[in-house]
Order: sequence, then structure tokens, then C-alpha cells
Amino acid sequence: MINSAFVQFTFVLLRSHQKYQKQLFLVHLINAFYCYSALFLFYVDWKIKYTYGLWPIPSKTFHTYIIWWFAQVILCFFFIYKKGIARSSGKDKKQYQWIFWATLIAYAGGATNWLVWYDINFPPYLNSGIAIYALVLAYAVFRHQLLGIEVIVKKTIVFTGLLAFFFGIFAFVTFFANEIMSRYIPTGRFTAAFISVFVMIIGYDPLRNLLISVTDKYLFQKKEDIKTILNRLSDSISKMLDIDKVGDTILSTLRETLRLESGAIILVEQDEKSYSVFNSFNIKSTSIKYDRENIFIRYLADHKAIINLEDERVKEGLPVDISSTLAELNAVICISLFLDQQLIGALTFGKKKSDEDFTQEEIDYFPTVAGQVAIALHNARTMDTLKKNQIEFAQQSKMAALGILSAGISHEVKNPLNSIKLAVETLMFNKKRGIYEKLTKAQYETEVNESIERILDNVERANGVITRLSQFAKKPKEMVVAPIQVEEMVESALSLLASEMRHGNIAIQRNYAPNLPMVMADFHAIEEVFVNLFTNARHAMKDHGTLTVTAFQRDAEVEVAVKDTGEGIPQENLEKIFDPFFTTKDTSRASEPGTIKGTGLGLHLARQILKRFGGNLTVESEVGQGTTFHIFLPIFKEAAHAA
Amino acid sequence: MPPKKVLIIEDEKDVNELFGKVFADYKDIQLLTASKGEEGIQIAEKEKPGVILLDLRMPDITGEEILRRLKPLLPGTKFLVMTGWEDGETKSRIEFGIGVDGYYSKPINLEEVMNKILECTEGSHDE
Repeated sequence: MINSAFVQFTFVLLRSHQKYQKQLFLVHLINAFYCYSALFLFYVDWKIKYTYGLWPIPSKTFHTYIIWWFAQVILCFFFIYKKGIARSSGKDKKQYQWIFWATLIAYAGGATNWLVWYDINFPPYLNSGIAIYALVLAYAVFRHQLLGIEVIVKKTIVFTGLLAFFFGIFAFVTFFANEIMSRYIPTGRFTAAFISVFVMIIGYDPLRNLLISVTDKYLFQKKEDIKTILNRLSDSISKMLDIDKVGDTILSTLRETLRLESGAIILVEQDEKSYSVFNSFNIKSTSIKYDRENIFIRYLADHKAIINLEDERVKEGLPVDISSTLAELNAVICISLFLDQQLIGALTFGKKKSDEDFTQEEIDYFPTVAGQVAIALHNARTMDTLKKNQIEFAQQSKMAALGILSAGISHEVKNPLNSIKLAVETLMFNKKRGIYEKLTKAQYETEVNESIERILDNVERANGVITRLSQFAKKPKEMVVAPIQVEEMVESALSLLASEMRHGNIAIQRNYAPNLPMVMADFHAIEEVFVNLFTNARHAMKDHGTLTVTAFQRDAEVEVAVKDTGEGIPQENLEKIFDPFFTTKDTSRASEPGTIKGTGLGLHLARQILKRFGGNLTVESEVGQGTTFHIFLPIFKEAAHAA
Repeated sequence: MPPKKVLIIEDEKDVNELFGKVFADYKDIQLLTASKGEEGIQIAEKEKPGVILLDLRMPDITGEEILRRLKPLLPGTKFLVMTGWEDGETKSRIEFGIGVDGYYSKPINLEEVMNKILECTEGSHDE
């Protein structure tokens, strides 16, 4: 019987059971015959052999059976070797090897049974080889997915559950019918049986579904369909714009769903000259960097396929340097990330925590994932660069504005310093000349107090200038969107240009509507917009004029109008002033006080910044009359409701 | 002997006031002050001071402009410039181009400037 099973198993394993169906049938028939005849044809008598008690004395039929037995076994092993091990590779080869050796041990053990029949004193204890066989195969089932172990476990649980249900129902119904119902109505066995069958029929399907879903949920929870997981992953990363977040999401999703021990994303650097570990977990060294010519990088660039170290054939064919690099990354799977035929990095996975191999289905799906990961990383990096550039850009334009302001600001600081110094020196100068000796004590004190106040006022003045300047020049980090008071912000911007305006003989008029609602924006960004507009107004008005700032609520927005009485902008330029690098100012180096250097970015950036907060910037102008800029900013909602 | 006239053209109130305190003790010098460029030119044309100390940056017209207009009118007047501008080009243009008798960067040294003013008033005559 065992042989029949082994022969059948061998042919099924080698996937040739259908081809040799008739031959197999014959083998089974012969085995069945021997099995049946074993009871009376195998032995002629019994006798005590050695220390093993009664043992049969073999008949001639038994001799033929032994030959037949060995023929089957040897043939099977031959087939497993020839058609299995020799012709396969990787995981399949491993499977055949495991089965071959485990079965050989089992059969070697089992064969010791026959020795005593022929009066050879060798104990049949190696039957325990069969137990080893069971252990080895059980291990292999787990380690190398030799068989669909999950299917077996699942079916066992469902089957056991259903069996318990049938017995339970039958017992309960019988008990119920006999002990309780029979007190009131006459019932027989048939009634009980009938009810049991009825309940079983009704309950079978729902119970079966319940058991399947419970086993799936609690025992195979992680076994979500790989496609579902990865689709969800690519869906969420494609919407992310923060590259660090993209990296984190990719690795944490894969880590949790595939239950990986380790993993890493290797990404090309911004300068495209080298590759480094961008994000990882549980890898030995996170500071690894590979240049373009590194053998590992070149290998990835040339071999677009996945490197799967669980595949023995792949592992053996891999250059040593590549293996050692992958070992450094604790990786068994390495998937290259390509974008437009360019290697942008790689995704590496360590082995699964469960020690299981990656399934073919998972491996087949990895290239799709790699494609989406590559796009998401690339997009996020582009956004990242853009964002950084924009901040850099804003800073540059601010510095240009600062260049324009700096002359005035230095003047603004030097003047208070001059007054402070003069106040002190006047006291010293007059004291040296004996002037204070002629004064009364009260007169002298008045004189000193006056100087002290003069000094303190000027210290405050200088300090104010420097504080405003440093606030303005501060490099922007991420924008902070918060409710802001429009008047406060406009005044802050005006204060930076107060000196410029005064020297330019420019009067400032303010018309703020009472109870202006707050707006949602970044204070410093919007302040910069206003500094820009005021600087432009100052420039447009040359040596005198009036700057009018009007602020009022218009629907869900606050509108601020900045009106100058300057030269105005010709109609043909009006459309272009928001284009980057459009400027009418002298872009050459500032060579004298009052010369304004333009970058042509101010208005472009100003409009961009406002749009970012849901606002806008428009202009109207008449040559010779002046220009009005209209700034729109959305009202802070909570404040609007409260009002 | 009539007092010698010194004119300060400077929009900083403190500077004018402090020089007022210093010159209060000089009985032979009459201090005139103007806080705007045009006002300074008017006073200079009328009073013809022997020394004019002026700031370069003024709300209405620049000190440079004042120099260009007054220098031809007042050949005997000494011109002293004080400024908060850190600008070498402006300095050389004024010192060597237009020509002034002193150029002082703010914050100025009172004693140094006073000595120069007094030196100038000694040698000059109001016109």
C-alpha cells in the first residue's frame, strides 16, 4: 500500500501521472493483489527469530514480492533523480532534493524490516526513519512551501468545525427529542433524526462560510491579495508630494504586508552622480553610497530583471561583488527602479519574517510595483526640488529687494548712531570747555537728562530698523498659514520703507475700513509682497507723490489697493509686468544712492505667493496718473462666522 | 566785528539741536540751521555763511545737488559734508569731482568736525 502511494506520489510530483495512467493502474493492481495475499501467501510458518519474538518464515511468493517492492522503489528514486533533480533548478530543484533524501531515509529505515525475514540479524528499528521522513517533509513544507500548507490547515479547521457541528446537532436534537419533547408529544427516533438532518442541511452552508472566513481572518490575516495591497500602495504614494513621506509609506507598507525582516530604497542622488540608501529598516549600514561606475549599480542598470536570491540558480550565477553588496543590504530580493530607461534606484527586500519564500505571484507583481514606486519617487523629488527652488527663488528676490533697501536702511541706522555719539560728545565737549560750571545744579541736570532721553530715543530707533530688517531678511522656511491682521501686516511693510518714502517726499495715506476681518496667509510672505509693491510705488514716483493704501472687505475676501501717483505703466506693458524677468528698472549694478536695481521677479513672485493662499494680484494703471495694485486675500473662515 | 555765520543743512533734528548747544558758547559765531535742501539754499543765498556743513541725503534734494548749486554762488564759502552713505563712488565724486573742504562719515566725531569748522571760520570771511 505504501509503495502504491509512493509510486503515485512520484508520478504526480513529476507531473506525469496522466501520461502513465494505465501503467500506474497496473502497479496499483499488483500492489493490491500482494496486499490481499500478504495475509496467507507470504509466509509458510512462524518462528522466534533472535530477540524479536515471532517472525514469519518467507514463502516463494514473498520472494517475488520483495523483488517487486525493490523494483518499484528503485524506479521511483531513479525517476525523481533523473526527471526531477537533474532537470530542474532553483526552488523546484530544492523541492525534489528534499523529497528525494527524506524518502530515501524513510525507505532505508523501512527496508530494515525485510532483513530479519532472511535471517540477517539487523534490527528493524530504523523504522523510525519514517518518523524522520515526516519531520523533514513537515519542515520543508514550511520552509520552502513544498505543499500548500495553508490550504491543508484551512481545510482541516473547516472540516473539524463542520464535523463537530454535525455531531453536536445530532446529539443535541436526539437529547432534546428524547428527554424533553417526548414528555409532551410522542416522538420516535425518526423524528429526532429527521430534525437533525433538517438542521444540518439548513446550517451547513452558513457554518462553512463562517468557518472559512474566521480562519482566513485570524490565521491568514496577512495574506491579503498581493495585488490589492500593492494597488493600494501605488494609489497612496502617487498622491504624495513629500519625498520622505513617499519613502516611508513604501517601506512601511511592504514591511507590514509582506512581513519583511528588512528593506531599503536606494535612490539616485540629486546630482545623478551617485546612488545612496534613501530609506531603510533593519539594514546593517544606512550610509552606503555607490557611484555610477560601481559594479552593483552597473549590474542593476544592465539587468532589468529582479534579482531573487531565493532562486538557487540566480544565486549561483551572481557575481561575488553583487552578492556581497546585497548581503550588506540584508537583501534577498532586489528590484531595479527605472524611469525613461534610466536607473533611478532599487528596492531591496530582506527575507520574510515567517521564513517563507516569496511566492511566484508576489515576484510576478514586483515589476509593476517597481514602476509605480519609481514614478512616485521621481515626482515627489521633482516637487521637492521645485519647492526648494521656489524658496530659493523667493529668497533671491527678497535679497534683491534688500539690496534696494539696504542703502536706505544703513542710512536709517547711521543717523541714530550719529545722534547718540553727538549727544555724548556734546556733553564731553562742553564740559571740557567749562560750560557746565556756569550752570546751576538744576540747569545742569536738565541738560544731562535731555541728552539721556535723546540717546535712548535713538537707540530705540536704531533697534527698530535692525529688527525689521532682520525679520524681513530671514530665510523663509515652510510657509506658516495663519490668520493675520491686514493693517498690522501692511504697517510692518510700510515701516521698512518709511525712510525711503520720507526721503522721496512721498506722503502716505491710509484708509483702513473699520473691523477688517483677518485673512489666511503667511505673514512674512505677504509682507514681502507689500514691500515689493511699495518699493515699486516708491520707484514710480521719483521725487514726490502720494502712496494710498486702502483696505476693505469685498465678499469673502479682503481687498487692499496700493495706489501711487507715479508715472504709470503703458498699456502694452501692463499685461507683461507679471511675467518673470520683465523689468523696466535698470538691471545694471547700483552705482549711486537711489538707483534701483530690478530683478524682474518681484511682481511675478508676488502674484504667485498670493495665489498660493487663494488670493490674487491685479493691476490698473494710467500713464501720467499712477498705478493701483489690487491685492485679494481670502478671509479667515472662523472669524467670518464669528463676526 | 559781525559774527561769522555757519550753516548746517541736515534733516536730523538731533544734529541741528546738538550743534546749537555746542555753538551757544561761541559768541562770535552765528549758527543757522535748515532741515531741508531748498530751505538751506535759500538761507545760504541770503546769509552767505562762511562755512556750510551739509548732509548728503535730504528729503527733497540731495546734498550733491545743493553743492552743485551753491558752490558757484559762494566761492569764498567752505563746504563740509557729513553722510551716512557707505559709498566710495559718491565719496570720490564729491571730494574730488565737486571738491569739498571736508568729508565726514556718520557717526561723526564732534571734536574733529568742530575743529574743522573753527579752522574754516578763522580763515574765511563772510561774503
